[in-house]
Amino acid sequence: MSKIISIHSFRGGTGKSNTTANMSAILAMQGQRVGVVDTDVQSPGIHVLYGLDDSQMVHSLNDYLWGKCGITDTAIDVTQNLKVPMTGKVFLIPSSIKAGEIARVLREGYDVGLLNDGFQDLLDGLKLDYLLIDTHPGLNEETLLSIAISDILVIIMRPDQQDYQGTGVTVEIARKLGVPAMFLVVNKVPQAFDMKEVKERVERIYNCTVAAVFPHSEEMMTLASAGVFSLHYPDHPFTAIYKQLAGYLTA
Amino acid sequence: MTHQGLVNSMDQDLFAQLLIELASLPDMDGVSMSEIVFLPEHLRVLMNWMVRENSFQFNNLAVFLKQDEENTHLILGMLVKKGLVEEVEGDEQEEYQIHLKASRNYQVPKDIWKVIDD
Repeated sequence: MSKIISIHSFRGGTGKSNTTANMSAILAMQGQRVGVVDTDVQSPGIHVLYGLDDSQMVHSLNDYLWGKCGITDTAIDVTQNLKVPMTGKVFLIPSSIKAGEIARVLREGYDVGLLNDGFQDLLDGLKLDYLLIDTHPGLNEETLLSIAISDILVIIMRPDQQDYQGTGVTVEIARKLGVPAMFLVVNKVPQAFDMKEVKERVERIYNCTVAAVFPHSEEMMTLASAGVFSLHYPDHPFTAIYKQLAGYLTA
Repeated sequence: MTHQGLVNSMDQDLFAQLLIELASLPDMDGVSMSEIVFLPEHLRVLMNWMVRENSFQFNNLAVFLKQDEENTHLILGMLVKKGLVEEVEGDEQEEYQIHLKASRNYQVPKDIWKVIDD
């Protein structure tokens, strides 16, 4: 049975898109058919990690929301772009990166219910095992919908005071929306911190499983912008942490 | 009570509570996701189920509520009358869907923070 997984953070810059892209690659390496939807229509960016540019995007999520095409028409098979042999597939549903189209969706809004219809159409039309939703940071109507329809919610946070409070709100809302499973990921933890202690502390605060803790690493920050990290550096310790996270999602 | 616990016990006195919660709502022209977060508990659980189902038939609702035909009609009628649910085109049988408002303001209300005070 297919699963919908939302990857969310309360603030930007937590590593949400990187985590989403790495999960898609690891799942596809395991033979799964994975869809990735960039619902961050205000500030899309995950397409960069799959090596896509504007010329390769015939349609975008925006076109679907405006009734110009079906949502499966917007899906791009990016498996080849990953340049690693894999038995599964990765399809990206990008948001438009055209300034005018971003402005239009912000100005006019859209029928949020269409997203729900679209997610179901993607699962059926592309025969997906997993649909990963890369959300806009913070809370808006479309992120709440993404959270509400998820089988699993992954919340990524950094260990600072603003993220602690924002993550607390998100966790409470996810519980009110009846999300069946929820995991936390703590990213960019200063090297001086005890990772085990961070995990235990965060779990205690939110009463929620911490599925992964990533130490802050300049090396990682540099390498991550080059593409999907776990494919480029399969033996790196961070790749092992990504695989650990994927294990929680597939359990 | 947990979400699942509430779902499991929807067939008992909680059904009456759902009716009270529905009756106390004003008529609405659709519902936003942020409004669902702040709905009374039993109604919120029902709306969450409808969001996850996307569209549903009468029989699905009866099974979820663990109610007979008469009671299920009562609830469905109230949901439609209040503007929370609308009938949509189905393949064979009548289908229903939560009536989500279009997102125009984009951001959820500032008082969303109240969720941690509840």
